[in-house]
Amino acid sequence: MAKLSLWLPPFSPDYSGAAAVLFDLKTVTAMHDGSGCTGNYTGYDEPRWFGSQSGIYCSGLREIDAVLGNDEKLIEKMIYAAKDMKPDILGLIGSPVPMVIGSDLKGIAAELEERTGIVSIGIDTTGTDYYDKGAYLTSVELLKRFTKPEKHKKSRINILGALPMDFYKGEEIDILKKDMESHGFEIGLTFAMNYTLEDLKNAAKAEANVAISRFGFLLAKYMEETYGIPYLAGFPAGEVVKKQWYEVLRTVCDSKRSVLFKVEWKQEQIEKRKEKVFIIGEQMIANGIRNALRLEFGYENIVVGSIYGIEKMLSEEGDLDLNEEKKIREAINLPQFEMLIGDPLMQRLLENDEKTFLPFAQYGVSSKIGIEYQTFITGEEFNKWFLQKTHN
Amino acid sequence: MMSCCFENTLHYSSPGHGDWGVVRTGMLLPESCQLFVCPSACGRHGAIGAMKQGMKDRLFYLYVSQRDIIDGYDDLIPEGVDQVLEAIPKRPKVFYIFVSCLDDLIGTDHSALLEKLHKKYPDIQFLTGHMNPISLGSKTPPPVSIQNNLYSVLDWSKDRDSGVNAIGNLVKISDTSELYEFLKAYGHGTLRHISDYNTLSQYQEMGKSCANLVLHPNGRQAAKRMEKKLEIPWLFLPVTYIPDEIEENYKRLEQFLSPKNLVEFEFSHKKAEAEEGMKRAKRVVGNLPIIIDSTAVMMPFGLAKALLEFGFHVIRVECQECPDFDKKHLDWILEYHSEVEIFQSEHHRAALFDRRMEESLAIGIEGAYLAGSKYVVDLFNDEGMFGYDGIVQLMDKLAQAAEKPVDLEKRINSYGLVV
Repeated sequence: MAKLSLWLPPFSPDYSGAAAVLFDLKTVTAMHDGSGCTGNYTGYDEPRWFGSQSGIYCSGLREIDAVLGNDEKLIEKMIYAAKDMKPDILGLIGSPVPMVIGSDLKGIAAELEERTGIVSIGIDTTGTDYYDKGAYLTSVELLKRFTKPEKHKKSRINILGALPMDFYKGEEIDILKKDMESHGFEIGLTFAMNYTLEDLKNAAKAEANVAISRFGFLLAKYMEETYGIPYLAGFPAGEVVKKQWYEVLRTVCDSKRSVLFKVEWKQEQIEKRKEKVFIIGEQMIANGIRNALRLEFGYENIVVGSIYGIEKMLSEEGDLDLNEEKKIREAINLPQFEMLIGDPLMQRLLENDEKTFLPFAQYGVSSKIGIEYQTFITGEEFNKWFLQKTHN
Repeated sequence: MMSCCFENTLHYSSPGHGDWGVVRTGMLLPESCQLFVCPSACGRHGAIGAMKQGMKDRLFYLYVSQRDIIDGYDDLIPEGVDQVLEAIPKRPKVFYIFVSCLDDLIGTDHSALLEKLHKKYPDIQFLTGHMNPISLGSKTPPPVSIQNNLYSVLDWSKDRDSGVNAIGNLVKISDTSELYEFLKAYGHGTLRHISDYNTLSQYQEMGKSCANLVLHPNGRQAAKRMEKKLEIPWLFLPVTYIPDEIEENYKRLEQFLSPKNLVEFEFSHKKAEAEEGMKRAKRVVGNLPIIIDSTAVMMPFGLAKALLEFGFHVIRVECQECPDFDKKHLDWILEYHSEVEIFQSEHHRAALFDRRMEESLAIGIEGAYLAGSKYVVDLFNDEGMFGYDGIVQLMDKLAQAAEKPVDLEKRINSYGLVV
């Protein structure tokens, strides 16, 4: 059903998620569109684009080719580019027009592979879903093609769910990796920021996966089923939370059993705060912030509103699926919520300024507009951010 | 003379690629708002760009699902319009219903839709806007269709006056241009531009003008339509920086305006200013290699010719194709300056970045990005330029640019470009 959006921009779409996953690899990838879809990705969804040599292109789809179903033109362009760019992978990413005309991108990819001998993948994104869906489809396709089951290596961990839509240019991921290494873990694949084809090929060597976003969670479940790798699902925001997170990660490694991370919280540990908090955004990161607010700062009443879709397994009672602007607006204006944490653009939906609003930029929402509100939340970084925001 | 050399490849989309886009261009229409009816993905760049330009409060979206596309979404639009009108504080006079590429393939009956909407809201003019880049290369791609939209709301007027419209150009010609004085000398008081108007009723003044000067090719189709509907004759005068062509353009303009009294308009002062600016710019720029790209000017080969004749060291022209009105300049470059490199900015090989030249001055941000130029002229789409004054301004910009390296990423981000 059509959904009206008055004040927020459209969120980052599925094809951008697909492209973001392929960004690091040596590919010739064509987004199959006229130009605007590629422009969305390169201009507003991919903060790493400036200065990169990534091989994400636009197919330059034209109406006549769409009407006639002329796939040969696309194939020829791909082969020509492949001769010059010598990629490891050829990728085709769908957009609304291929969806409408029923382009068989997987079939075209198969033909490309036959004609070039280069691994080729087709991703059926449509422009009607969000980035995490496209990222998931692409990641699974890559795993199927490149990752074979292997013996797991002790303390080797993959980080799943890293995308610019959630982690901007990836500095947060670097902080997390460094921290994990300092705790004795070896980082395998970081899917999908700052990784190599070798990392991907060796992904099944991990003893455990950590999923740091909803996309990562879906992928962790896939890898558990396919490669028998257990996962820890949760982002370690907050100083004390992080300690618990490492303890649980060690348990996951030892027990080989997956865990949905939730903080151990004895209410007498910390002074309680009654103020009701509403966190709007990506579900797992919002959950991470909820854990931190509870354990580090004593907030008891916290609700998460997911804007890209909601996973029941990651939800608490009362959490909200905010799949359209109207629902977001209604939720953030509910009188019981006194403190709001969300992308700075969400503030536009507030009907009065009585609530405390803490801007927490999400590139998948505000793109370049919200850059000044980008922050880090790994471990003690969250505490610093929260204290700074609430003491001003 | 043969022209060269552009291939149809996969398109590289550099961070410097893009322009105003249909949203920002469409917003030139006073008291208008826009409702995009499309998959959510299609609107993202336009919305963020509009936020950067402070226009998002006139831009709305009705996201359609796959189901809506299969069923046809015509019937959903009136309710979306109702909700927009309820939500916004100021009632628009013009309401665009924008559709995206896929609409070209599913056969929405726009006439019936507009009729229905007009019946319900007779005080509002409804327009169908197209953001459909799959039509690029056709006669009416989005930058042309949006120009058609802009001028389609003008009514025929029996009160013809001496005003002249500038159309096609997105930014009005700089006040310092001698064009204004030239028109005055021939009895044409005002050079009108759409950005002069804040209300739709004031904007109707452009329908009274006696001539259209089409200063950007995207306005040519609109001019033809205006000639038919409003009886306004038109003349295509693409912005040039070649002095002989400027002179020729003024002669054409003189003939076009067919004045009762021929006057000898005195250009010498402005020519001298241009000459002076050229000398000053050459002193500052020296032998610094110059790269020109088509984001800055509509005739990059024409500008290359001008600068080469002025004695600058032009080394490269970057564009995706050569428009018909710039072909003669391309041929001139090929014949007399074959050392000038012609670089297709969206070619897949652009991503090799094997033409870096940091110690260069780029006119246009796409060329600057691809070469990694340290010095960049702040010019987009010939904005504000015309006649000898265009040379004066360009020379000032060249001199300014050569004095200080630029933070290109910051500048590109500030433009809010839309592909």
